[in-house]
Amino acid sequence: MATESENRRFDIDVEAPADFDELAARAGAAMRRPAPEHGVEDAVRRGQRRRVVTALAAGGVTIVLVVVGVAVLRDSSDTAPDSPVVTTPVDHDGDSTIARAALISVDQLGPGWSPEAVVTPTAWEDWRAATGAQPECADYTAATQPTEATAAGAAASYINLQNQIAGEDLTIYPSKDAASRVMDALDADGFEPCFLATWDTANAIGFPGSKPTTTSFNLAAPLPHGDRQIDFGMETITGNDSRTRLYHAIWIQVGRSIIRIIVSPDGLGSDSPAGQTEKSIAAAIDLLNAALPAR
Amino acid sequence: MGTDAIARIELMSTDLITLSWDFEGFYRLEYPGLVGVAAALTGDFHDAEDLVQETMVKAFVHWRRVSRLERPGGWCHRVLVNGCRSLLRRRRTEQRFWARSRREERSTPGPSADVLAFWSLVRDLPSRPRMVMALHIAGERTMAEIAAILGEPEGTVRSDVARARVVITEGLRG
Repeated sequence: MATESENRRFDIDVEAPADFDELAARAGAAMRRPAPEHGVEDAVRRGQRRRVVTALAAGGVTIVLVVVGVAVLRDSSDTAPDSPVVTTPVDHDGDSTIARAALISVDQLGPGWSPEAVVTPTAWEDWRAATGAQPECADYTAATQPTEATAAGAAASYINLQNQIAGEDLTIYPSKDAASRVMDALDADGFEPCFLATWDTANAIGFPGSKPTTTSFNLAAPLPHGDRQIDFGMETITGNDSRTRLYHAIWIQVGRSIIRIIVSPDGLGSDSPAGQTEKSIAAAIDLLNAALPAR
Repeated sequence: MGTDAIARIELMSTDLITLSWDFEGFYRLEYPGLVGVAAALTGDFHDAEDLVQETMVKAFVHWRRVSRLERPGGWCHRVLVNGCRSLLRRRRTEQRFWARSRREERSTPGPSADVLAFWSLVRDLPSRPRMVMALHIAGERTMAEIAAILGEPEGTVRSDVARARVVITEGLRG
């Protein structure tokens, strides 16, 4: 039985070295560091930049951010001429078939989910306009927009349950190296704020009046999957109804494919095998692996 | 850029200047404990400093809300612990596929051998006791604060500390 004798010390019913507390105090002190001289200025500067970006992006609209979110970084037009992605001859038709066959469906997520018919021409136009409104993000969008020249096959599906979403974009690149280069671009520091800003701008265009403002939100990372994985949480507040929605955006490279999942986290946590996030990821990877051998 | 957008930015900038005064004191007060917890959990001061700085950026972005909390430091510790968990998972993934880049060693003296052994034993503990000990020893957080940060009953935290102490003591004896 432990009894707290003071704030940081414990007396326990076991024989322990008398100097345990002294060692613990030294160990704790050895880990602590004073605040860096310019740390505050750096945090304020970075925080201001994030807030300004999101404030600029806030324009209008409601929720169902899913609709435009489907198109995120998947715009197939406005090809960047100097995209860093390696292009090699590929079987476009075959990869497109694989991509379509490998998308998660309502069957993988249990009862209640239904398909979301969201990939509309308008949604694509909205996303195109949103990316154009973020010139500072051109490097990221150029690197991550699959086009006929850079991607062998691409497909997307979005399904929903009330206000929750589980959306997937699957892009198959000509080579693993090409997919890795895209992941490099996604892994750069500037990508996340660009993604959040574009997300808001696109939804503001698509849903006038909703006034979405999205900031990064700390969510536990999903369990490791695939060859490489990038994720961040997003908190979207819609100005018209003051509602807050959380999304987890996850990119997983599996060989020459990149799966992007945008999912509403549930109460089980992002790293729980029984949770919505893990179920979506696992289903997407299982379906991709099942589809690939058919090639 | 429209007039409304410009006005919004100017208004926001004014707010930030005002807010930053409180934030600075908070930053300097909480930083040592936060970096201690992150270093204890990750075993890497560079990663720890990056994680704490990212936590502080998030605190600043949400400062209007965070500053009104009963324990803004607890909010930061919760964000930081989640960040440490994410980093450790990513590190495991990276190790499978990428050679970790070696970082330059610090020129300042490192912790003593018994301190290194202490934290090595802490990092070998199961996840929850590891977090509890890092928050308790490096973060100097009380049992009640740790319980709130981790969302666990206070009794569980106390039990974790007591058991961890036994394990570490036995480990130090070799």
